[in-house]
Amino acid sequence: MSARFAATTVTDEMQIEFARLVTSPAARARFANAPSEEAPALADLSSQSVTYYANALLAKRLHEIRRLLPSIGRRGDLRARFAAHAMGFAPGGHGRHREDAIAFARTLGDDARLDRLALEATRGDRFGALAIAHGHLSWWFRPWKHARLWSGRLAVPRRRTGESEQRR
Amino acid sequence: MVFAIVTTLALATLLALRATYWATPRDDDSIPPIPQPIDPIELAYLRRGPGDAVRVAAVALAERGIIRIADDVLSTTGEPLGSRDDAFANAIYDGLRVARTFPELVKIIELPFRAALEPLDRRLREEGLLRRSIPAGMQAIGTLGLVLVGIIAAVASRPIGARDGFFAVALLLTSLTAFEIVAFGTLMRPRLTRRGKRYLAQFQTGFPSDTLRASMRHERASALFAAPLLVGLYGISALAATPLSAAALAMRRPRRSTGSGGGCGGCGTGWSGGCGCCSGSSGSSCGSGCSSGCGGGCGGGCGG
Amino acid sequence: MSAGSPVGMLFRKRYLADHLRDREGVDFLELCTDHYLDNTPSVADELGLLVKHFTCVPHGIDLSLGSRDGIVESYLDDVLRVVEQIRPPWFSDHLAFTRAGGYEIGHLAPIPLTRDALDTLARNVARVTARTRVPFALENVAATFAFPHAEMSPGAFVRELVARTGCGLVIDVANLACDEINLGHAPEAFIDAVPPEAIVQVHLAGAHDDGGIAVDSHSSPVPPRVWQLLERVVDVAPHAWLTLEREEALPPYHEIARELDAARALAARVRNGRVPA
Repeated sequence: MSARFAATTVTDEMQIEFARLVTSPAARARFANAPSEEAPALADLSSQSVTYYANALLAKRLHEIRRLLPSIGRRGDLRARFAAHAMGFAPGGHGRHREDAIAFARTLGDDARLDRLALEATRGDRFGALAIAHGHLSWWFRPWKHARLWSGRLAVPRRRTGESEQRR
Repeated sequence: MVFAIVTTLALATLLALRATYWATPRDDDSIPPIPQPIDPIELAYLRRGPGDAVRVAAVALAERGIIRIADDVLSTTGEPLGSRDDAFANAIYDGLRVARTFPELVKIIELPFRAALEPLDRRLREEGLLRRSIPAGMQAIGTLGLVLVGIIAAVASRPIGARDGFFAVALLLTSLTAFEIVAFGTLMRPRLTRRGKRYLAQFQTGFPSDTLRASMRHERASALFAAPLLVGLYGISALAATPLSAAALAMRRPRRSTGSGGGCGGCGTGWSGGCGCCSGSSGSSCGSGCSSGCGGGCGGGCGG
Repeated sequence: MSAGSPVGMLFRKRYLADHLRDREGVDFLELCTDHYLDNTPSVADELGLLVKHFTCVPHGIDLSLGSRDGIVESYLDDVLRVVEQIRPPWFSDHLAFTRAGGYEIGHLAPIPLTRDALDTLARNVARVTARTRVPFALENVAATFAFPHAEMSPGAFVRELVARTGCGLVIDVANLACDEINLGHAPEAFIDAVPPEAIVQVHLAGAHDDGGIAVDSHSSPVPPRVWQLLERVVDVAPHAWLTLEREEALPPYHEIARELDAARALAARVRNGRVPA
């Protein structure tokens, strides 16, 4: 093996190993215990550096998700739930934050349903959505692909619950 | 057959007239950029006509604390106007020495405002943002003529049917319907050209209503100018739930009503909003349109 | 546009109305290219409005020029479509990689300072420049770590890249300040090493401290050290376009305007202090 080929391999390996480590908590854990076995090209890199970068990446993703899912943005347990979601989902390319938010919103069920529908509707190839949630009828509509998105919201009169009836 | 030829000829004449009379600079021409400084009165006038221009001028004074608006009553606060204040501000300031409500104010300041708006109106038409107007009198005569043509055709269809058969009547009515649609369309075309709409749309993209509202609530330093721009671009109702919500109530646009001055219920571009001046009216012809069409009701009757 | 270094800022939608009200406040706007890749009418309207009223410079984040896998062609197509619409004096991306071996990092990762990484970069930059006549520039990223097996200094790496590709440089002095804290790199050495004629644009911003690590969050006012580095860059590249790149914790516009004025004043001071050649 020539020295040049070895350098090429090292550079390539370093980048791939780094990308794998920062997107996989399990690989990071193994790297912390046995760096030269898990990522030989990065054996000289401290596991703290990799972990710091990976956490910064997660924080950045969560920051974007809080912005894209405003209704759940202030929930306290987001960090742990997002970490669980991120273990199995690493979006890439253009629109990755939107896809990340949509996928995460799915794991949150009804809490983030409206935000998720609104985000899905912003995909240019979607015609829209209709939802009744949080006391409103919300809709998003575009007449054809990539056309302007029209949206609206109507308050839905709430049915009185038994409890509120009793109070009255 | 004769009817068909006559109607087709009439239709062609009308289309030709429309093409020349309404000719505006090509829509493909680049629309003017957002000017500096921005004039909210210009935008209000462009969008809805003189009534909203008055509203913008009043809101600008209210935002500066020169006039006070509470419970539908407008009054000056005692703060003097600046030396750089324009004719619009002066007209409102002077008008409020006498008027207490917005409709009263509109009635008083109509003349000076009309004069001040004339150069603006001329420029907007020259730039192809506003359509050239059909004088109100001509518009009324045209409308009446079209209605008469319709009635005559309906009455004449029976003898024609008896003489020439069902096909001739069907052809006559179809041609006439097409003629009337085009003719009414020509008479009632909106005041803005497509170029004007696109000009306005770029402001609405650049100054979204929520940004302007937020600016009014939170950034006092840069807020001066936000309220007039909000009204100029989105109408007086956009001031609801802002620090100037009283202005939204006091100067609200009247509901289109047939009982508010006899013959009003126009297109919402008049002095007080819902009354009189239909599409295509210029500043000058608007005034006369209001006077002739609504009489004293314009402002007083419709403005509240 | 002013006679010396034009001064502009990264466009944030929050300031759109302010920019339109005060067009003289900025000489140009830097646009995040990726925001305009969605070709929806509202995005197109915004882009049209900006291009019509301001000189705009697109700045992308996801070309992943350091990837051995190469550039994603569809992404490059989209970027060039936006560049075509804007017709800027140049467009830029980062000296970084965001994917490798099929893994999507989704964030800018620094490039190993090896000859092989340089080959990869030069190859990818050539693929970009072959597709457009609009000049292309690259920005240095901030790092919290450095890959092992480095074969050259950051300055030498960038100098050689410029020599091989002819690309321009966007020097982010805030990132240099972060690297100084995190990696012990000397910003002045970097500034002195890169070819000054290649520097077309400078980014300035403030970072935040995370337990001793400087994070390039671009979320705070420009600190004194960054002003100091800016002065150094302006001294060697007096015509570079100065860009305030505030991304988070956006303050009221008047605070931004103050920093823009400070950048203008600094550029004028440096220019006036130069001895004519």
